[in-house]
Formats: sequence, structure tokens, C-alpha cells
Amino acid sequence: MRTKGKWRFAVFVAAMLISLPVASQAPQRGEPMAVIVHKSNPLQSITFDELRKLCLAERRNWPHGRRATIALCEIGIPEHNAVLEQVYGMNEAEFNRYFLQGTFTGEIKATPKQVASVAGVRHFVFNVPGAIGFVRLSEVDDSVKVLQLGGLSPTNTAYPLNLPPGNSKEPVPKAKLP
Amino acid sequence: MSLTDSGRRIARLVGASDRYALSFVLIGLALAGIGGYVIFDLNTAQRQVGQMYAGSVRGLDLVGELQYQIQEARRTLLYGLTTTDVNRQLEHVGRARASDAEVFALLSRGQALRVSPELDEGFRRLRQDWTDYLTNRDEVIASILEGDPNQAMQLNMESGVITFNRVRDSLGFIREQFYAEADRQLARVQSLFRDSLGKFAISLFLTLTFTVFAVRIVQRNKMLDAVRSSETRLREVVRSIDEGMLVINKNGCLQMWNQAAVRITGKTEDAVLGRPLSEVLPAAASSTLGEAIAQSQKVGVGATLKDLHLSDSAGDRAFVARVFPFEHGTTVFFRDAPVWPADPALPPRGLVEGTTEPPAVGDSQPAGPSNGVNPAKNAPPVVPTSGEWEYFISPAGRVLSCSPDFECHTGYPVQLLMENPGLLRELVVEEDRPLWDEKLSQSAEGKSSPRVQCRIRHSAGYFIWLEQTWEPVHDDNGKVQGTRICNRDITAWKRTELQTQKDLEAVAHLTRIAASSGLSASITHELNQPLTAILSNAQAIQQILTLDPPDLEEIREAVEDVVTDSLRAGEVIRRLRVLFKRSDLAKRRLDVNELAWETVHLLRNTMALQRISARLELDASVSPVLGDRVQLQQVLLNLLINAMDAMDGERQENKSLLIVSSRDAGNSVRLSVHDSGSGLTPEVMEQLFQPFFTTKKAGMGMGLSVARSIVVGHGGMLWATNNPDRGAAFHFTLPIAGEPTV
Repeated sequence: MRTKGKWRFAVFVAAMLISLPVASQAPQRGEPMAVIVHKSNPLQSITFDELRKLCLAERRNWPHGRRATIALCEIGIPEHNAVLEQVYGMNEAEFNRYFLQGTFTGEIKATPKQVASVAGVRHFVFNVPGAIGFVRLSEVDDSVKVLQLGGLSPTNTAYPLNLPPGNSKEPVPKAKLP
Repeated sequence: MSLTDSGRRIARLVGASDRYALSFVLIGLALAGIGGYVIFDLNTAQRQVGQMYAGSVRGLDLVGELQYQIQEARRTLLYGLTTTDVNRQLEHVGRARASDAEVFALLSRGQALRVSPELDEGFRRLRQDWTDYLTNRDEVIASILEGDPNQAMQLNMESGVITFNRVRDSLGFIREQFYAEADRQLARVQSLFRDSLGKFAISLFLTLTFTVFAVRIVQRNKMLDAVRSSETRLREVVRSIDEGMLVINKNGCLQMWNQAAVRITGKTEDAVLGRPLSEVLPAAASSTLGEAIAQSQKVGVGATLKDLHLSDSAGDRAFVARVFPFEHGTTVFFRDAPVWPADPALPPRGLVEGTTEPPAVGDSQPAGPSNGVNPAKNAPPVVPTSGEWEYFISPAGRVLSCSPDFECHTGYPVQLLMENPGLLRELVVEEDRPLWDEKLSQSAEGKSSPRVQCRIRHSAGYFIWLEQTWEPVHDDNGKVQGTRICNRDITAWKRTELQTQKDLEAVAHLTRIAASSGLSASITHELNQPLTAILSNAQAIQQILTLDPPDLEEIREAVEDVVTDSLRAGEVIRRLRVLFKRSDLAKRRLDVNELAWETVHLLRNTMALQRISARLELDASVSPVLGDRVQLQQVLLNLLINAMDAMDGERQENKSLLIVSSRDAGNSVRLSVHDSGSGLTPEVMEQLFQPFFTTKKAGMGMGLSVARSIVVGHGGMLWATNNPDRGAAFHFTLPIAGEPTV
């Protein structure tokens, strides 16, 4: 009995030692972030550029005419930083300055809504037909619709929008929604 | 009760239960049916109330919950308009949507109730309206969250309010339907309650009726049994009566005729029952008896017919009949009449003895047999069983009114008394007339006299004892109008009293003789002293006569001494003779102090021999008493001898006797005899005056019993106490002479 246990432990250690070099050679990629919209939204897919235009308020309405509203997590939540970095291509200061300037000049009518939690983003999208939000894939449920990005679903390894590695867990939300 | 009796009683009860069993089974079944019906009715009522609760009450509760949740959904949505913070807005929106879910759940529950088609339609409409409202509401939520409150308000005002009002109207419709349903169900329950109440009342009435019926059945059967039993016993009793007995109803027909009546008259029961008296008895007898029955029915008291004649084959026979009226008829007992004494002056049987004097009626008085007023000669007198009557006389003694019973008791007609003013006084026996005159004069002065005892003569010659109460009657001015005299016949009681007195005297005589042993020493000494003196004087005279010349003066003195001593001895003998003589009671005024001296004197030598010192503390102011000297001396003698016996065995210095006389409360005189013996124990005290109780070895146990009888006979009391220091004391009281004792 004791001999059999020792054999099992030896096989496990060997497997770990063999797999370690392979993992270190693959590119670093976090959990994919889904682009979610209201279920009534007719779109199935969106290109990265169209997404970027909607987010930067360069384009105000959806193709079917509904006004687009951006829902982001608040600062400090990994999704917030990931969207700013990968979609907006800005840091926090540049993001604030961009929308302050746009609002001041009148070019931007509505700024992105910053919600306190990932679940809040999901609820927002659920309640607003023209809303678009970003949540990690594990937070997606049936209340919202996930758009393909550039024809790629979030589960695809080439999916371009991902959380930074090491941020698989969502931080504790500030306020729990009912 | 024997075992046989118990067995019979149990058998009777079992038989009774058999008879009642069917009735009780039927009544029990009826009651069980009624009970089941009431329970069924109550169950229906309970089901109806349950349905009412499930339908209306729960429905109204559901409506209340729906209203709350709808209002909550509406309210939280409007809260979202009051802030620009998207997180707060999301919070309110979340609450509004939670209320939406509650509303739909409640709608589903309401539709599941299926109370009525109207309500089903109401719930369907509400669901539709709520869905319409939610569609509009979603647009409002979107506008709020998009940060466009103006559009949100506009949407809310344009269609949100309208759709919400529709929801509210639908909810109101549902509520009204539930209220209407509740009213309908309440009306049904009330109707059911009224029906149940009516049924319960009917059930209660039937139950009571059945119960009363059952009780009546049981009572009736028990009464019938009791009546049968009583009837059987009555027949046995009537059969056992050795006198003839008949019962006549109000119509004068015979209802009962016993075996003795058959034997006496020779007429069978079948021949007489239901027939009038005149057809059963001879004309004279039935007429006399009929009158007596009518009179006794009228006055309501019994009567006695002493000379009822029946003629048959055996000849003319006399009977005594007693008539007893009752509510529905009259009972008559009859038997052979006793043979009366030939001399009319002799009293009939059963009356006071020693009254052989003829009626003392004066020549001027139309009374007595010679005047033809003796009712016994003419017609049998009807003597009511009541022993009281009264008359009212004027201050001069004239009779103004008189009870009819006077004739029954005296044998003289009332009319005769009214026509002869002096007859009433003449009827009083001669010895009691002074008392009569005294009471008459006292009543004329307005004084009443209770319990006056006197004798009056019956027309048959004997006298009867009466106890009278003289009560003067005054007019408005206080003047005496007359005197009402209530009379009570106490002849029987007096006869008993006289007999008792005679018996007492006989016993007293015996005890006096028995007490003579206690006096023997005194008698010996009393007689020895004068006899010795006589002997000495005689011897002295003999010696003086031998002298020459004899001293005549000495002889004369000696002879005088002899005479004196002889008289003294004679006096002693006389007193002893009086004591032992059996004579009739003779009450006279006597001084108790003198009585005490005399009695102590009789015993003084015995006391001296027993070394007893006697002391007398006599109150000289005590009044004389009325009594028999010999009997009272016997009482005192008994007490003194008992006291001396009680001190027998005591030391000489402890033997003392004290006789005390004093005036007692209540106009009486008390005599007390104190000794210094060992006193009386409670056990002895209890039985002290009982006959044949004695603590002496040679005692009869009659002394104190007789003494108490004598004292009580004199109107006094005799009792015993223990002295505070030592010894016992016997006390007796006697009423002072001149008190109202006749």
C-alpha cells in the first residue's frame, strides 16, 4: 500500500517537471473579456475599429439607430484598465482628458458610465437596450448578449481582448446589487 | 334488610328497567340522531367558513400584497430619477425588477385561486396591464441609466402613468370582486348560521321534550308502583282492623267496607259499595250517623257517637261510632258500645276518678237530669276531639257569648247558659267558687289571670278539670267591657298528676321508713332522756315518801318534772308518728327556719355521736312558703343524713355541717346544706338524682330522687354543687306562699 502511494507521487512530480518548460514558452494571456450588449441588439459581431469608434464616441448610434451607451467598470477593477489599455489605447489620465475635452467642446454628448462592479456592468447592459459593456467571460450570463469581436468569439485563442494575466479574480464590488 | 328482601328489590329494579328499556332505547336513538345532525350541520358551517377563508380572505390578502409590490416597483423606479449616480440608479432598478417578479408570482397565485370567472378575467387583465406597463417602464429605465432624465420623465408622463393607472384600475376591480365574493360568502355563512341556530333550537326542544317524556314515563311508572304498593298495604291494614270501618265519599256513597264491618252487619262488600248510607244502615242509625258526618264535615273535626243503634236478626245492638272527616269524604269506625254504669252520677269510663258527687245545681237552675237537659238521655252527644273553648262574660259574670263546644264538654246547651246568668258559677264546684269570685273581681278591675285551674260539674254528675285564662277586654276609653275566658280540658292530665302524686307519696313513705335507721340513735336518746328523768324523779319521790313527814314541796316539784318529761317524751313520739304516718298531701304556710331547726333537732344526737358540729345560718327575714311539712322535713332530713354519711371517715375537726336559709331570686326561699366531706365527682354528679343510684353500701338510691320529686312538686328546684374549699352542698328552693299557685 505504501509502495503504491510512493509510485503515484513520483509520477505526479515527473509530469510537473516535464510540463514546466512548455508552459513557460507559450505567450502570456489572461481571461478573455466579452463585449456584451442588450439582448435586443440585432448585431452578432463587431470589428475592433467599430468598437473603438463607439467607445471614443466618434460614433453615437448603432447601425439599427439605437443610441449607444458605454458601460465600464470603475477605476481599480482589472476590466477598467484592460479596456482603457486595449480598446482606448490610453491611460487613465488620457482617458479623462479626452472625454473632458470632448464634453467641453460639445463633440461628445455622453461619456462612458462607470459602474462599481462587473455585475453592475452586466445589469446596466441588461436594462439599457443600446448599452455595450465589457466583462470577463466567466461573468457572462443569459441576461446579456456576447458580440464576436472581429469575427472571433471570446473563447478563441486569437481573441484580441483579454484581461492581463494574473487578474482572473474579480475584486470585491463596492456595493452589492440586489 | 335480609338477603331475601335485597333480592326482591333487585328483581323489582330489573323488572322496572325491562319496562323502561324500550323507551330509553328509542329516546337514546332520537338523541343520537339529533346529535349527529347537529354535528353534520356544524361540519358544513366549518367547511363554508374554510372556503370563505380560502376564497375571500386569502384573495384580499393577495390583493393587498399585489398592491404593495406594484407600488414598490413604481416607487423604486421613481427613486432612480432622483439621482445621477449610476450605481444608485442600478440599485433602484434592481429593486423595481425584484418587485416585478413578486407581482408576477402573486398574479399566478391569484389566477390559481379560481374563485370566480370575473376574478379570473380580472387577474388576466391585470397581468396584461402590468406587462404593458413594464414595456414602457423598460424604456424609462433605459433613459434613466443612459443619463437622460428628461426623456425618462417624458416617457413616464406620456405612457407610464397611463399604463400604471390601468394596472391600478385592474387591481381595484380585483379587490372589488373579492369584496363582493366575501360579501356573498359572508351572507352564505350567516344564512348557514341562522339555519344552524334554528336547527339547534329545534334539536334542543326535541331533546328536552324527549327528556321530559322519559322522566314522566319513569315518574308515572314509579308512582303507579307506589300507589299499588300503598293500596295493597292499606287493604292489609284495613283488613286487620277489628273495628267496623266504612268510608263515605262526598256524595254520601260507600267507598270502603272492611271485614269487621261485614262481620258486624252481615252485609258483604259487594252489597254495600257504591250505595248510599241510608240503603245500608237502618233509617235511625243512618240518619244519626249522617247528621254526625255532616256536622263533622262542616266543622272539620272528628266526632264520637256513643249510642248508635243497629237492628238486625240478632236484635237491637248499640254501637260506638267515631267519625273522622277528610278532604274527599269521611271515615267511620264503629264497634260494640261498652256497658255504661247504671248510676248516671258515676263517671263514664276514661274520666277522672273520685267524682261521684251529683250535679250541684241549685233549685232555681234548670240544669241536671231532672230538668231534662241531660243530652245522654235524649240524643247521643257529639263530642269534638278539640279540647278548648271560650266564653265572654260581663263584669257582673253574665255570659254574653259562648263557643258551641261548651255543650260538648259540659253537657249543657249553650242556649241554657245564655238564658241563666248564674248557671256558669253554679257549674263551678263549691270548693273552687271563691277562686272563681276572686278572678271575676280581678278581671273586673282589668287584671288578667293566666293558668287558673278549677273544676266544673258535667251534666252527667262528674266534674272535669279546666285550665282557664282570664283576659279582660277594654273599650276605647280603657273601661273593662268584659272578660274572655279560654278553657282547656285538663282532666286527663290532672288525673295523671293525682296518680303521680299518690305514687310519690307511697315512695316517700317508704323512704321515710328507710331513713328511720338513720334516726334510731336520736330516737333512742330523745326517749331515753325523759324516761331516765322520769325514773329518777319517781325514785326520788319514793325516797321522799319514806321520810316522816315527807317533804311535799319536793314531791310536788318532782311530780312536775315527771309531767314535763312525760310531755316531752310524748312530743317525741308524736313527731315520729307524724313522720312515719302515711297521710295525704297537705300544703300549708310554714317557716323554713323552723323546719330547719326542727329537723336538725331530730338529728342532733346522731350528730353528737358522730362528732359532727352543725351550724345554722338562718335568715330571719325569709317569708313563709306553702308546702307539706312532713314532705319538706323529709327532704331536709335526707339531705342532712346524706351529708353526715358523706363525712363518715373524716377527722373530727373536719366534720362540720352548715345549714343556710336565704331569700332567693324570683320570689322563692333557698335552703342549703353544706358538708365538709370529699365532695362529688363529675360521674356521681351526673347520676345523683337518678332513682336507685347510690354510693352507700346499704342505700336504696331513692332518697335524692324522691327529694327532688317533692321539691319539684312544690314548685321548686333541687340541685347539688361542690363547695369551693371542700365538700358538697345541696340546695333547694321553694316559692314563697301567696304566689299565684292554685
